[in-house]
Amino acid sequence: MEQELILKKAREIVVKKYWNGISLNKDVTKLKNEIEIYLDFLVPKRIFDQELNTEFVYFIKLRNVGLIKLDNKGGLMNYSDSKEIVYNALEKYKELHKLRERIIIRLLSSQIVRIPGIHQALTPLRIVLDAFYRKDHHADSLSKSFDKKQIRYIKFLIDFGYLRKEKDIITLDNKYISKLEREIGKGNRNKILNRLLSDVFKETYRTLIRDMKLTVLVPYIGIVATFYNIIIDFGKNIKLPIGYVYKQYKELYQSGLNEESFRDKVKDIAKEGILDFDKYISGIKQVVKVIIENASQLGIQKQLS
Amino acid sequence: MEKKVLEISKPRKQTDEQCLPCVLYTIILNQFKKDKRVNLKHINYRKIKNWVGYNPNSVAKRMAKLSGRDLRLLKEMYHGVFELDKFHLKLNQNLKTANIVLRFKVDFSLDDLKFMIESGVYPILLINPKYINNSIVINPHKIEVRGEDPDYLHAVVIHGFDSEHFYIYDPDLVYNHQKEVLNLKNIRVKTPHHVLSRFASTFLNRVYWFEPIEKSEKKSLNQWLT
Repeated sequence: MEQELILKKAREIVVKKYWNGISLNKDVTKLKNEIEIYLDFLVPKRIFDQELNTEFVYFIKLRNVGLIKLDNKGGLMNYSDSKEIVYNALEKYKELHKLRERIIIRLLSSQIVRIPGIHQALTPLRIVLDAFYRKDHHADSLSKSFDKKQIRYIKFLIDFGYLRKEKDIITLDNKYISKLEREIGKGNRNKILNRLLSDVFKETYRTLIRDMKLTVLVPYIGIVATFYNIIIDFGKNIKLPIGYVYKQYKELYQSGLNEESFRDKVKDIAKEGILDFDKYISGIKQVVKVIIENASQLGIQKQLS
Repeated sequence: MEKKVLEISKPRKQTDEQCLPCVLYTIILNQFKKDKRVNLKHINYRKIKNWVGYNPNSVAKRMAKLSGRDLRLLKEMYHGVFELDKFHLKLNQNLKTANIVLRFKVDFSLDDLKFMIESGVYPILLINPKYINNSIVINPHKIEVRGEDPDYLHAVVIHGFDSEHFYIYDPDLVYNHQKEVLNLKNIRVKTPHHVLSRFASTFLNRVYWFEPIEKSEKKSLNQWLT
């Protein structure tokens, strides 16, 4: 069967069985006795650009949320039921956001750990990293030098491989430290520690929130990820009203944060040069450039229809 | 010069991607407000919305138990959802009491649209939303649809034409709902014929219109369309 005819048949099935926004994935797979046509789902989105006085409408494409199978003559063999499509689309939507959040937080971690609210929450982690940067510690006598909370962070760092147990001694990964010292300069102890903290944070922030109960990180991470998620969608910098970003944040994050606290946290984030905030929220030129470049390299931009 | 305009009073602006019920409700009120054969007493916007299946909660009901966050996301994702082939069926069942039916024709021509307008009937199209990028629009702000052509349909109404343009009521625009009238002096969207021709020929390719059931049984407009 010709590609065009296959798509026409599949389109008829989409119209009969599904709803507005279900889109045919053009990558048709022809197997020996059957033809597979995958379905995407388009989520409409709107952004109002204050500067251009323009409302932009665009669509996020959630790929492969359903499947139609035809036989070689174009007869319908099987199709995903609507429940399955709704479920897949929901999970894909969450997955896409998580992936973007990870990229954004990785790229901005060195600035994010300087936000006062986050800096304070990470103090025990910083103390532990500092102590092990100064010297190795004996596994049996941790309670002499560290409190219970700090010992939990030591176990956490061992689990993630930043600290290593060598016989009875616990030590920082020397190769990694040497690499940092080469990059930053051996005398710059504070800079090395900051980098260490930022590296640990960007790799483990979800575990810090979930297992170490650092829920205080959620609003900051959420605000940064929500705003730059919109920038990835939009493909360039934009000025947005704080209410719009707050609404988007509430959709993506489980949080009791009210709009006033949200505004205070946006101000804290802006002070660290992660975003701009006066009357509206906008991105920092250089940050926007780096995030869009990275998102594009990872193919995330392709999610846009 | 050929020119014909059907007035639309109290045009509504859609919220939450509810273009279809918004357009259907506005046209029912405009087309039948003086028609004694039609009873509009029990029709309201909320009912129209439910009858065409615009209800994210109904999507959520299809799923097993969802967390609060998943429910919120789902509602955000499924604002603009309606079943392409079936939305008119439940609508028509419920509109029987009002003596109205929503009809449709596949593979229509621009002449069909003109003929309908000349007959006092508002053609309703499910159109590629990108048509707006190539139209003349009067609105407090610009609207631009980005990206490649989406497989996503947007409901609009054709309410007039001249030799070069079709006049469109698009629920995406901002209206002074209670006072505004779309008429010869107040055309908000002008779309060139060739642009409408391109963006209206979607995969669904249907024109919808309302008519009283009584008329429909005797002499539907459908038989006059090319």
